[in-house]
Amino acid sequence: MKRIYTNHNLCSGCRACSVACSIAHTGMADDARGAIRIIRNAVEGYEVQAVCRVCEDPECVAACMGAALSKDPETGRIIFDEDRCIGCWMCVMVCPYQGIHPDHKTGKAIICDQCEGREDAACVAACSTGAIVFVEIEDGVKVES
Amino acid sequence: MGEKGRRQVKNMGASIGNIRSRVAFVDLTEGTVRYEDTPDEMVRKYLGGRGLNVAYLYKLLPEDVDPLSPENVLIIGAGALTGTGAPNSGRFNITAKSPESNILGDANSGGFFGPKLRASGIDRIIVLGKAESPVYLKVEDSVVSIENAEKYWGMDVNDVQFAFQRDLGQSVEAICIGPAGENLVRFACVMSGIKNAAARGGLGAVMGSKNVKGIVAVGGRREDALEISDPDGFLKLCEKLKKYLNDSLIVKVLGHVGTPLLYEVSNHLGAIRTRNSQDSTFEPTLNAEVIHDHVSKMISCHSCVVHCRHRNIHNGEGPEYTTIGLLGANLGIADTGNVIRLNNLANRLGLDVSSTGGIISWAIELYQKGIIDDSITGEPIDFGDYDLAVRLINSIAKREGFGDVLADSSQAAEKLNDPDRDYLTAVKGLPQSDPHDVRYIKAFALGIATASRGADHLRSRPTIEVFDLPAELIRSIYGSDVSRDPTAYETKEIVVYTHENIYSIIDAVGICKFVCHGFNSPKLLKFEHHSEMLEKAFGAKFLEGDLQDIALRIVDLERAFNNREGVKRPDDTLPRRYFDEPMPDGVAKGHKIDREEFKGMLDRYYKLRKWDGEGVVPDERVREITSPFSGITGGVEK
Repeated sequence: MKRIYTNHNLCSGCRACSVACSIAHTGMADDARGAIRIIRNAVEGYEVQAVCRVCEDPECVAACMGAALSKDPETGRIIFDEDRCIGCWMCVMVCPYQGIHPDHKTGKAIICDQCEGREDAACVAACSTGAIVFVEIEDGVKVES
Repeated sequence: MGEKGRRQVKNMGASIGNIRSRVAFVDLTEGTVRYEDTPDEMVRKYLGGRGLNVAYLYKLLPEDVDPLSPENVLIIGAGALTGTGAPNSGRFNITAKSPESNILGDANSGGFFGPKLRASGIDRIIVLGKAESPVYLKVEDSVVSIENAEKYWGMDVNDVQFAFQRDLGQSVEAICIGPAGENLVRFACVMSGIKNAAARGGLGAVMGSKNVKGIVAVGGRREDALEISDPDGFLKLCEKLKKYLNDSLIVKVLGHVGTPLLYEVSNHLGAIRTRNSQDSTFEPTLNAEVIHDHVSKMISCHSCVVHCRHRNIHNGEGPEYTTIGLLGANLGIADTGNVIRLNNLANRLGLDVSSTGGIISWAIELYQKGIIDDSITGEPIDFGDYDLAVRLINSIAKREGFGDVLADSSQAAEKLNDPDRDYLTAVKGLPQSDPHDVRYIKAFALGIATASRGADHLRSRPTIEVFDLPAELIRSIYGSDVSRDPTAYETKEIVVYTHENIYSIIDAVGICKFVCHGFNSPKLLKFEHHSEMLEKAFGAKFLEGDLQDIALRIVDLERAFNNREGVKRPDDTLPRRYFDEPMPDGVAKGHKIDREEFKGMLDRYYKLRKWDGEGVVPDERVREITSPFSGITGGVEK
């Protein structure tokens, strides 16, 4: 299975990843619609890359009371059925990595689908510093090529 | 280029596609907000950002208005590509009549506010009138509301943005003023984040005069965001352009050390403004590599491929070349950490570092020369005194003691006993931003003399003048032969004219100059790339000739605005020292500006611009370029 990894040392905080994700999935340019987020605070001086880590035993799936979230046993991806999402934000609260985001405007969660059906992951293609990679993992560990 | 030439590049077939230009007119006196889509013809003719801002300002502002009165019009506008995710597309412009120069005030800034404003459903905010008590504007779901800001008034730039995040959500992005803007310091800037500044011309004071503490973009619904016409095509194009830019050496170097790299270049030339331009070389303690010891990480603005901004270890961001020049060498302060601390202090207070350094150094030289004394300064003042600089910067922002005098910028000339501003490095009342002493490179000199907002390098600075480029490449940039000698006067009007045109388009599309052709590199993004991005993003069609025509229009309209405010040929000049005193040191030693040669250069420049001999845009041209405004109604209630 594959996972998106981020490297906070390389991330300059520009959010090109988020806006590319938003354009790829919604056709709209809005980094708040991206499934990958750069949570940054200039005053405190940090930028945190928040994206789904396709956990082996995902807390979000366990917490989802509408059964909108499930884990694909083949690909390891988290499958999100938007129609079933009731916007209770349990997934958002239990995810230890801020990997799933609440869209307060639609009342639906936003989670990375690893750009299923696309040639490249949009966030990886948009990143100009190489801070984001999409790679194979085995037993939860990155396979170095 | 004759009238015939102008027609050749005239916009025949430009189409704006679905470029969005949604304007909110906020009348603070009436407490109302009205909305309007910019008429298509205006977008076709002025595109966005700086272009549309000046178009609205020209239309809405009566002449001879006191810039700090409620009649001034404050315009915050995103570029056409701002927020699309195009490379380095985080920029926006703020425009009003400047309280520092009393002519056009227009400042461009990066950061994250511009994209968030557009994602919140608004592309331009036009602020009219004055609120009775402190307010901030909240932008959410395509609606702008006027909110009480009593509890934020008095906060510095960092604290107020932290408070906005606390109160309105972690993901909000804001522009704001610090104490300097509240206290109507004539060179107060509008800040976004802790270091991005719409710095020049005192627009923070205009915001303060309207009792506006800030504008907070909260976000929007899906339908409030910008729709991309060809999502896959646009993403592919952005990816391709980012790769192209990342391969550029100058982009790599800027990403490594940022703009301080220029300090060493200027210093080597003997052209780093030092101790109010009395000297022209300074200490190596401000070299980029030394600065870098004080940097924890290089960070960026929205969608940026360069990441030239330093997060410094003294609790701030920066410094830029401008800051180390003007708060360092120009004040005679060499200690690296202290110069960065001054940078952080000015940013927190919301002061334009360029004017701050220029005005303080002016006062110190006047004191040295005995033109002013302790009766006005309150204490002895000298170069190289960090503690004094801290005291003065604080007192300027609070308008206390001598700081209250300095806070009037060039308008303090009478009080400082230098009525003709003989010792102030300024043009049209605006202190020079570039730390580079322009007596050596003649195109730099003409550029600050003609810049539409006063002595400023970001209107035309042709850095490539120092690169010694091959003649063939020069011909391809300028369309004709241009002297490769940076100290030559002839043909430099072509250089300034070309760069002014290029930069006006960069500011209209909302992209950073660091990734654009002409600023630091003869390569990078050109008009053809802007055209391509506009097409993929919005289905818009602007051919290179259309963009060239828009560029001419923007520069002409800014000039027409300034003409209306009384600007004429005598204002297109240089600080006295640049004509009268030869440069003291380095490669540039002995160089100054020859008055006759300068006059010739200006004549040729006017001719190229098709302005008259007094530097006035002909009436016929003004009628032509103002005709697209007839559609503005001032908005409709929503």
